[in-house]
Amino acid sequence: MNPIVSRPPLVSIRDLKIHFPMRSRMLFGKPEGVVQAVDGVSFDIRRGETLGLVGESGCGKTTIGRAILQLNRITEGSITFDGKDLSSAAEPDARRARRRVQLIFQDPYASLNPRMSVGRAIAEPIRLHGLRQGEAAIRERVHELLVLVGLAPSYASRYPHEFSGGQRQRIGIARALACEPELIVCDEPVSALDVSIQAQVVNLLQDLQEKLGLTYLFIAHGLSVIQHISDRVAVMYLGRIAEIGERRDVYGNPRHPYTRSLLSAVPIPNPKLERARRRIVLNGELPSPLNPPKGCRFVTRCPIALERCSREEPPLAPGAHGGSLAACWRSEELDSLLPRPVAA
Amino acid sequence: MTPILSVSDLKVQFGSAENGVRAVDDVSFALERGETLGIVGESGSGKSVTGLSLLRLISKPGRVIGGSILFDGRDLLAMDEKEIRSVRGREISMIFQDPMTSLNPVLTIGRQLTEILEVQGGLTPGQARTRAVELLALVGIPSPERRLGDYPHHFSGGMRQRVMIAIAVACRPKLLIADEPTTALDVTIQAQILDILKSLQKEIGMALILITHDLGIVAGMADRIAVMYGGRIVEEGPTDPVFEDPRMPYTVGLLRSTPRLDRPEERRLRPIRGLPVAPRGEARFCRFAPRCDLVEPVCTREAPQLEAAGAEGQRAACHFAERVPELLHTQEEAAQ
Repeated sequence: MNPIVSRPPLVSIRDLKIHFPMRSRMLFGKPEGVVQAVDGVSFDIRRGETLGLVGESGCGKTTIGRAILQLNRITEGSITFDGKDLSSAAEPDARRARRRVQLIFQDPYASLNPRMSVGRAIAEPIRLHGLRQGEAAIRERVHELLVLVGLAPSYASRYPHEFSGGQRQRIGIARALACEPELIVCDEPVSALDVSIQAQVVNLLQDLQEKLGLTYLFIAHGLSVIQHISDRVAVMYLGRIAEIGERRDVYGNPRHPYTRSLLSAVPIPNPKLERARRRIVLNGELPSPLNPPKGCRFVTRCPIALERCSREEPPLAPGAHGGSLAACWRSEELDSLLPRPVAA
Repeated sequence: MTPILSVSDLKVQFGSAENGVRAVDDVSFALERGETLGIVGESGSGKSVTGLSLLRLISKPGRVIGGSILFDGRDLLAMDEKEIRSVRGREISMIFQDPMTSLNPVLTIGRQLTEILEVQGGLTPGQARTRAVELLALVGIPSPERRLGDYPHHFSGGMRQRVMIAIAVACRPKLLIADEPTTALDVTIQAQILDILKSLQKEIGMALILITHDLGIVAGMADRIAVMYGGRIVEEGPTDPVFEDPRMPYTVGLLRSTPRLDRPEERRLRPIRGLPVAPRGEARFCRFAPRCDLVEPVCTREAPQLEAAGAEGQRAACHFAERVPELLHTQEEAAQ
């Protein structure tokens, strides 16, 4: 089958919890509560794949991305990168791992120093990690990287403000690639771009993956982009994984009511299809992660919740006929309760 | 029946005539009562400026330099400041992408709602309060009576947008302009807001101009579509033919570069090459020519006019509008 499956995963996340204590506004006051941004999440990222991490704002997807980059302290659980546990690794090891995991941000303008030429910005990590020796070799590498992301080598002497949003995102990608990473965490990399430019960047990311054998964790709230780029997809809700599986399964036959409602809410640029669709409209809004509901996290908004759902938390489990893993007590009878998405 | 809104040859200029940006260039369209027009385009296409100019909200260095806007038989561009103020909020309302910046942070939402009801609607404070509660209930805000005393920061993004909509429809306007009303919201909240807009439109009978970059939203909401590029409407018509048989290569490009849920097996997007350029000076050529796959010498010499092409009521600004489907087909065969 898939050759990717047989190799050990590049990243293993087990029972990950990341909680942020909320301080009282009073000096020396007691903490007012704990934001359970990520609360018991386990999944693997396989070598060479793109794992799409999708969910609405506040679901914890960015927090997980930042934890893999060692930018967030882990409250409980573990993140293993290429066999090494990041939370217990000694500083030199942790630093080496940091080079191998890079980040692409949503807003490339905010992530580039406006007073640093593009060439210097890209050269900085090369110098820092000692990846090339000597100025000539570094300059040559910068030019190579610019060409790799579809920019002219002469752009090295220009400054970020001289570029459009799409070009800046290419510069951000070049800078990430400068570290010669194995995993790139792409956090909403195309959300701020216009659709014609978004497609250029998505295609570039796909080309680079093929050329360099990269692994992506692709974080986005846009389900259509995630479907397009991912091999596997994880859907998050309020700090937990609601569903995870192969792209085809999650989109074609989602086994969690949240995934179904999300998919039904995405507008499709096809007027006839749009008119014929039945949306699963969710009640209310996302509950506060300070005080998440008992039992299943989705229970307050679920259109098919039972009494049991507010008592017992459903485990992430496979179906009787395979498919994705879903955390729902009613996933086996879902087809008789909620419509399937049109994507199938 | 005469249309509620009829815009002809609207031109909006930012800066000087030679070097400034012609943000809106010869834009003409009409809107029937109760109809929904979707204006789609990317950043800088002129869609928001078109919306703002309908309410005469263009501020310096921008100015309307030509054209006419007939609303319910009256020319909005010829009105004095007092007359246009009586139109704003009462006959034409507008909502924006970010409700936080359009709500006053130091006034309760009750105050902001009753203000328009008293000033524009002529209600007494008591009547205004009753009506404000009804309006909040109408846009789906739970326990509306209690929430009148809350400030904007007490509300989530989706709830704030509901408040904005309640204020916008308070005086039962004949036209609502919604500029990217759901862009800042999560997809499930977006679906709720679009549902509210649809049902309010039916109830009040107002016309709706929906300005968005999202082709999916207009597909579900709009009766007609206007696609803008470089300050001009480059394709316009009833929703179905514009999506199914587009006659302007830019519309085709937009559709092809959009990842879509209904095409799960399409593993490669087809972007439009190059970058959009701000429209400067007079258009003596097709603004899309530098990015167009079907470009011919004539495209760089002569600006195409918006003319009938394709289905009934469909218009496209392309020298080859009639042949676009055939040309694209040939091109695709050559590529394979």
